Amino acid sequence: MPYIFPKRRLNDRDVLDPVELNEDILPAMELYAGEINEHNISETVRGVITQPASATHSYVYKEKMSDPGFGDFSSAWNHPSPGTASGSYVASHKVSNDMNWEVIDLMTFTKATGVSKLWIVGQVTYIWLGFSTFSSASTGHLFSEGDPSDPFNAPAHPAGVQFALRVNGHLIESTITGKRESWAKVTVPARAKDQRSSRRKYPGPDMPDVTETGTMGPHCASVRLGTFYDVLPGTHTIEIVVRRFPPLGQRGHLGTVTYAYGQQSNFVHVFNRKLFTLDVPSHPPNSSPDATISVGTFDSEDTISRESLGAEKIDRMAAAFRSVQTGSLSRGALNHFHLTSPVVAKKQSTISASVYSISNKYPGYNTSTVTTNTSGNGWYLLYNGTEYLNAVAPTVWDITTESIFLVMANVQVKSVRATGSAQKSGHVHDHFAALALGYNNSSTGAVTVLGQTEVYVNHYNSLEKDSSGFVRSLEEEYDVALFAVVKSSDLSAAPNYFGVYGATINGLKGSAGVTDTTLTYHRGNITVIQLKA
Amino acid sequence: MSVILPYSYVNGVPLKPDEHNRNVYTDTPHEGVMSTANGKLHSTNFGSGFEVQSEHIHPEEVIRGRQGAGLETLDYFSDGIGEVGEAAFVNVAGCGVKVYIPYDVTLALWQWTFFFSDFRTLTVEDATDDSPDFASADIIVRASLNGSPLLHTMRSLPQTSTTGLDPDIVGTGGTAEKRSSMSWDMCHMQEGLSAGWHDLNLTLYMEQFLHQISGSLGDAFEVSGSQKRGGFSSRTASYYLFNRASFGVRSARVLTIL
Repeated sequence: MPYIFPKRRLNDRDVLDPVELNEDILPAMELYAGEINEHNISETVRGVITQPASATHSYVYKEKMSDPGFGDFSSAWNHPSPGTASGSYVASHKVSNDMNWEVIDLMTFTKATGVSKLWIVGQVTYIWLGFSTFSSASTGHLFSEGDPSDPFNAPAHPAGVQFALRVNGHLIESTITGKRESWAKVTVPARAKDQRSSRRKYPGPDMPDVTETGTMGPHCASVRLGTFYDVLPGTHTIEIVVRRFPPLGQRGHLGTVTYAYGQQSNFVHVFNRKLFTLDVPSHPPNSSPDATISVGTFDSEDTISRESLGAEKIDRMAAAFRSVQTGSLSRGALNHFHLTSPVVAKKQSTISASVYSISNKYPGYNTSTVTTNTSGNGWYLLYNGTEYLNAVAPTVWDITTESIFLVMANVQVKSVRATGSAQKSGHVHDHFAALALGYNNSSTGAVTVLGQTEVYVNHYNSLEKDSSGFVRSLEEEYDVALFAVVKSSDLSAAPNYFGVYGATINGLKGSAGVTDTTLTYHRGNITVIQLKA
Repeated sequence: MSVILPYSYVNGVPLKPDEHNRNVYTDTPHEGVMSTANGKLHSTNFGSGFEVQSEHIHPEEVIRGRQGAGLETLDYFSDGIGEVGEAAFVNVAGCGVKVYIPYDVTLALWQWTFFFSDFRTLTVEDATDDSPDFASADIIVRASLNGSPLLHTMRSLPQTSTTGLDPDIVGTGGTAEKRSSMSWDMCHMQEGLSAGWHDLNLTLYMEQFLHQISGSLGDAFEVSGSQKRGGFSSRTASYYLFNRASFGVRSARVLTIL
């Protein structure tokens, strides 16, 4: 009951009825014993009562770093290869070629909850290995053109992977990075002019179709996944899973054993990966001890005295309401007007003004060398001539409050190409660009580029092969999704800003030798939410 | 203020009913054990060790999340929805979310994820590797928040095929659609959101073709199947060619924080 009132007021010459005297006391006593709700509490408590972050949310975060071994500008460039476990780095996850969903290594954890809503974000970086300088791999990749021994005369294939989130063994269908009917064909958008083809005896036009459009196509990509998921009380297992499809019409993938030419086998590997879950309780277990006061009640013939009415009842109750305990509040007693935001700070920055190109060189995995030259050596803070893609706090991001920075970014990559005159015809796929999140230290001015956020994109979009050997490069038009969780306790000083950094990795194709790469981008945004932890 | 009891009970002195009543309930702030509890419990009424516990917080009064999703594959064709201008943006079914927020919030993080493949033609002059580009009818996706476009989220879908300027001359390869099939996960943070209904939708714009020869808007390219373009068979047949955007599994989410 939200409001309590005396049932009757005591008047002169009233007979003292113990029931009525008790009714002066019991409603407030009952309220104190775990019935205080939102109507009993003044909204002036907002920001004054202690509100730990654990009251509104909790989280689990796991990130793993894996180096694809691209090399760096100062030594040599390499094609990506399986990541190996070393120090803080873990081995890359080799995706089985059997079409079964499998958990990505180390991308699983458990979370104990009450009735909760989980906000889950996962992110992985995959690379379809097989980039090669082998002469038959005319496009720089052994398998994407089908038969590695005859790449010119085989159809192009996609990487063929799908990712998804899974909770307690339940695959969350709305997170699958693919089409529901993974084998379905789609029609070429053509409308026949004639009802019958001249050389066919059957009526009706012969409409072409396209296969293998239900899985991730690019050779490498950053895949970010997300969902809300309602859970009941218990311990829940949250995972990122992956599966890979073979080319349509093939029983499996070619080149899955050690390739005859000493190149990488036909597997997709997952490198950097991370998984985050925010637990937002909706009906959490009760953690407060019971709050009670013993005031007793009046019976017939009881004496009314300073002790029995004052000290043992009214005074005791007043004392209780001067020191309300956690157990005095009912479930859901505090509403938004009683509570403060768990957000410490937030910022979003966007760029959209113009297309911009850079060809600065990648400094190596998990290396924070930066440059302000678009053709220099190191990471370049993305800029479009007027705007930087960085989230600058009004002064600096505060790290005195224990918190986490949730950083998300998107970058519209227009193309990753050979630099210069070979923009259209330099169609080899082993031109790469890397993108990563980083922050600027307000104390030293130094930039830290977070190795665990590195993602890669290559020049995957080209039309290859017809009978005349026509090859045509097309723009990638790819959106790169980035994600990181940074703990304030891991920062040595407050960041000035969080930003998106880019670099390019040279192509190694055959006789052309090492060829510079240009990354062209256009729009993007970076969002930082600093949440109490 | 804490709880004030204006009247003290004294042994041997007659009980004063009005004073006793004030100890129980008055209109004076912070007087009386019942009246204090009636919406006047202030921070000073809480014990020194009091901390808000998660069970104290009414569900969704600090953080709330909503999402919508679509699973069935959708195909949009430029001859079906192709138009020119802002009004031509249409919602992609299943990639939107609408939420009622009953109180002002610090922020809303909107997220949307969609898998797509597209058939989008680039017109080239001839079959050489570095043939000059000509027209390429655009396919654009863009998020719309409460009906207003979010320009930083605008993306073109990739070109995946080429068509010769003169359909009788150029024969080009198949389609790159299968390797340009992919999933994008995008986000936008909205600050200082007011209470009320809010919605976000992924919108799609498919530009009409401008025929390279006739110069007429809306005429599709006319191609001959004998040219083996875009996966056409070698049988002789004539087609009008358009663009297509296909959407696979897709969803949209919003996380709001007080």
